Amino acid sequence: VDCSKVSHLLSEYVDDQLDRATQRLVEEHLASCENCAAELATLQAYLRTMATIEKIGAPQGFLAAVHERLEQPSVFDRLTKWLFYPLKIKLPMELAGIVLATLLLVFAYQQAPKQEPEKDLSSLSGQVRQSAISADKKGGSLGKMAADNPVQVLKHIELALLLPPPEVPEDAAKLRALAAPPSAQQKAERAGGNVLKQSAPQALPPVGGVSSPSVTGAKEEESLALLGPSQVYGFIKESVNSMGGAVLSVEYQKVTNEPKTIVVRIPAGNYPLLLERLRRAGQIKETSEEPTDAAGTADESELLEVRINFIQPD
Amino acid sequence: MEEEQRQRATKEQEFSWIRAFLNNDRSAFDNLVRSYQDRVFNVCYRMLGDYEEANDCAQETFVNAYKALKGFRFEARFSTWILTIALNVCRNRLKSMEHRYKQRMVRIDSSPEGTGGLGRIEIEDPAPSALAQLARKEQEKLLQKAIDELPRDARAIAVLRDIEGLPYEEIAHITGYNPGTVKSKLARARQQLREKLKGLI
Repeated sequence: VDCSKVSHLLSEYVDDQLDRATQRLVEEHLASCENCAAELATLQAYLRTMATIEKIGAPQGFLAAVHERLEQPSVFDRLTKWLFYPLKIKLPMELAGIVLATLLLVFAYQQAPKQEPEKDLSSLSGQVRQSAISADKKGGSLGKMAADNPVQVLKHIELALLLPPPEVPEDAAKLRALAAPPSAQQKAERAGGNVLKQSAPQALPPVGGVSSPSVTGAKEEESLALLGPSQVYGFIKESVNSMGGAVLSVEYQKVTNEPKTIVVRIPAGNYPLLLERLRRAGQIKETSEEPTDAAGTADESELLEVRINFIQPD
Repeated sequence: MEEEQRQRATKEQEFSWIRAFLNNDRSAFDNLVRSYQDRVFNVCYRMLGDYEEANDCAQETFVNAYKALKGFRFEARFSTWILTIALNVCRNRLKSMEHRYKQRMVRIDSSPEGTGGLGRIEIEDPAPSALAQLARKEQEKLLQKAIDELPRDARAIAVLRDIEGLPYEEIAHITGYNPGTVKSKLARARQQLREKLKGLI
């Protein structure tokens, strides 16, 4: 047995933890090795020192302190008490708060502007282009309408407009005349204030009179069959603006870069007027809603979002 | 009367107190506290090296025991059970406050001669009893400082064996190590302590 092994065994040796054979080997080595015997002496001195170390007892009143801590409510108990007690007062108040918050959320959700038309367009190809609607853009901007009438109802109508055959030559004079800016009287009315009011059916001149002075004398039912999609778009945009509405977005065809779909928003009361204008640009093939219904149920607080799909003959 | 209760209770006595407590006799728990408060306190003090922290941890030990006593299995002795709780409380406290403790401890290494610091004490003509008291106090500080510098596990084993005198098996039960690991860790801890206390022992 060498010194390192004995040194390792000394701790168990002093605690009488070795088996008899190992104990005898250690004792034989200790009898012949001064270094290991000195180490044993140091270890025994250490044990004596540790054995005499002062035992620090609990202070007076320790049990009372334990009792005091046992009686203290836990953090959970304190939190529960703070949140709910007294039950008769806090619980009804908290329930009322929850109900009020829920109602506010529902109300806010219902009043949030619906974004579906814009989403539909933006999810299409890169040809989709959004028309910015600003509050100061002409008299009848939607921003202003929404701001003035925060509880307006929004209806969606989709219709298809069959455009005339492309081989028909354009009539530039008719185009200019029909797409001309609104009359001076209309401008003055728009600048005057409430957009909806002035754009409501009763505030508008009869259908025949809507045409600008430059087309005075032209037949009301005169078709715009000579116009292409770009010109029709310009015509619709001008018409919508004159009704106190606006063009929300335009989708263009990939190949021809011509307008394909237009989404406009107008006061619901002007829907018959819009249809009348569209009939002059082309043939209305199909709609998602009967035009007469929309006109019949419309009131001043309603807005219509109309999606006009251009159909061009082959 | 209280001194009598502070004497170590027998295993049967402890079990009867626990059963009484489980039958809603709250005063039985007081008997357990009185019987073990000093031992728990001393272990906490030796583990933490700070009186106030030891007091707080010892109280916390009994509060935890009060809440957990319904799960007592009557297999191990109450002393083993309560010291296991005490060590866990101390370990958690040491983890969160180790840095603070290091700053509080007396600096044993500050003696330039490496004599363990005792040679630096300078007192003019003190009474023999006062000198002995001071020397003993200083020795206690040095011992505690040496214990504080041990790794946590080795410290727990050294305290339980060399200060509290618990058998290896009980230490293994309390610390969760097997007896072989307890032996080797204890041998290493003793070696470290002997080296640190060379000037003292």
